[in-house]
Amino acid sequence: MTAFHLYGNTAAGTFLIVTGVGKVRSAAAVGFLAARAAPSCWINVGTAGHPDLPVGTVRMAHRIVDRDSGRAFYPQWAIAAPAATDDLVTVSRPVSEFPEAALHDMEAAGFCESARHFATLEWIHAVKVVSDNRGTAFRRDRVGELMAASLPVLERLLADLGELHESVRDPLPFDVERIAATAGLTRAQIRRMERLLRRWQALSPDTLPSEAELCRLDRATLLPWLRRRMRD
Amino acid sequence: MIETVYVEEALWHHPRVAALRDRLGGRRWVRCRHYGEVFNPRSQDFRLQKRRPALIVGEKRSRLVLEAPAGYAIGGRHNYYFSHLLNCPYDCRYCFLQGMFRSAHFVWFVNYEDFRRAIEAAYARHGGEAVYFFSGYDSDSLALEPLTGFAGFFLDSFADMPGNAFLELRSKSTNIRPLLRREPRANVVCAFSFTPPEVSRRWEAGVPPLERRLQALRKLQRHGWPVGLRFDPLIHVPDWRAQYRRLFEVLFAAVDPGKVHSVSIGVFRLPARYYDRMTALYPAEPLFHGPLTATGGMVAYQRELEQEMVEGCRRMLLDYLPSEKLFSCQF
Repeated sequence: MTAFHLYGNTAAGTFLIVTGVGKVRSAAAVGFLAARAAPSCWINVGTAGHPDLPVGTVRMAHRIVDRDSGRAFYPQWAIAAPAATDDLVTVSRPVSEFPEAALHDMEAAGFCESARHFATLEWIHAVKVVSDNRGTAFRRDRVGELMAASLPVLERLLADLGELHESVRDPLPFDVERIAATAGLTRAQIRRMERLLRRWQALSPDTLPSEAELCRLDRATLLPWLRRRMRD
Repeated sequence: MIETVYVEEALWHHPRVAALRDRLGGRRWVRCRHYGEVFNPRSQDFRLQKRRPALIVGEKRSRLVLEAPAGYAIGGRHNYYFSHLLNCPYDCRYCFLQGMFRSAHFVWFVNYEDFRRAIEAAYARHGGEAVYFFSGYDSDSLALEPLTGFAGFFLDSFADMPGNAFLELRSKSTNIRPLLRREPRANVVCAFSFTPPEVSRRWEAGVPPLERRLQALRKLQRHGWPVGLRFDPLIHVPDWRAQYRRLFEVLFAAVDPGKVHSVSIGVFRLPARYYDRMTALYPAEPLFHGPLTATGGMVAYQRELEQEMVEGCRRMLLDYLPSEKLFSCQF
């Protein structure tokens, strides 16, 4: 029994956490998931009211305002948005009147407030399906059907963000954790080792040592050896 | 190119914003209270934003005109800079803006009239002495000209100012139409920044090729505008001497050295905290792992190398120009 229902595809690195209603729960759910899986991107998916948009319309948020605090979040677009975008206002109590021409939900601001501690704003987004408007009241029994409408957008978003993530990775051609574990390096020593290896890779990629060579060295000898070899 | 435009709510009906809406049409238009809400948050990735930079329209409310850093000069005693734009559409890997700003979006300050008043006030403080105003310190003066109309406005403003109130527009762009549409003024210098073509191709993404910039430079000279040449920063590559020699040959074959207003050389030098951010953005970038050294909170080429490059380029340039036109910006 955990605080949240959590579903995961560990191989794909994709997780779904059911936050429940409200910004406090959504913020807590982000922290809960971050501690377990450390995802690189965060998407808040759910329903929202809107004064005019037809029920079933899928929108992403380009501005998320916490109605209580006035604080605003601006998800950043390093990819093309796979759906039209709109303002999103997070409220603390359900509303049936919509004073603003914006989406209204109860989670996104809390979600963003928490997620920004684990990722930059290019990796934090909100996808909302309109569940009610001035003419149509919210119906809980329709939520599953409405959420299904968001799946194509969600799939496209995940694919594009995944591609983006791959494109900006500059991995070292080593299993850094393995070398660090073998040598018994501290966190600070790992950072120094990575810096030295990056420098070596940038300046003379053809002469990089092998992983096996590095794994033969211990905590006392690894960093001095790297410095000496780079001076040579 | 620009898909998203953020606009401060209070500026929604500003004439320059209305003109921008007409020009850009159906982009994603997002209102914000203050440009800093979008531009300043810590949790942003400059490198990712550079792929699809947005435009943020704001108003500069204070510190509109600032004293230029000591050594940033082309012969004047009183030097100021001002920035109608933060960030630049080009992606020069050595650019200090990558380390200075958290966001790669362009911030466009539309209150040109306030800038003009601040420039007039700064000029008035020096009792009629010559005062230089540099644009293009936090951006490129002309690169977004079709959207901002900056050059047009300030060329007209400086046409109304005394002849010893100088404006420098600094650019790598070829957007020179506003200058060609106006009569040249002796108190406005259009300065172009150059690195050798091999360096430019490798580390200046999006910058027009050398030949197109030379064409622009020639057109401006023929039209009568004073032009400046800026080699700032000098970039070290193993054969830097040969590359800069070739660059100077090509440049001075294209322009009339006798009509060049000024030439300045600047060194690659930036605060260590900017350098740290830049290397975090591009950890595999050889440029950041070259013969650099950190001293007194600044990162620069090793002292002897820096001096060798500055002196070497200075000597080469003296083959084309008298020393009075040559300035070394080291700050």
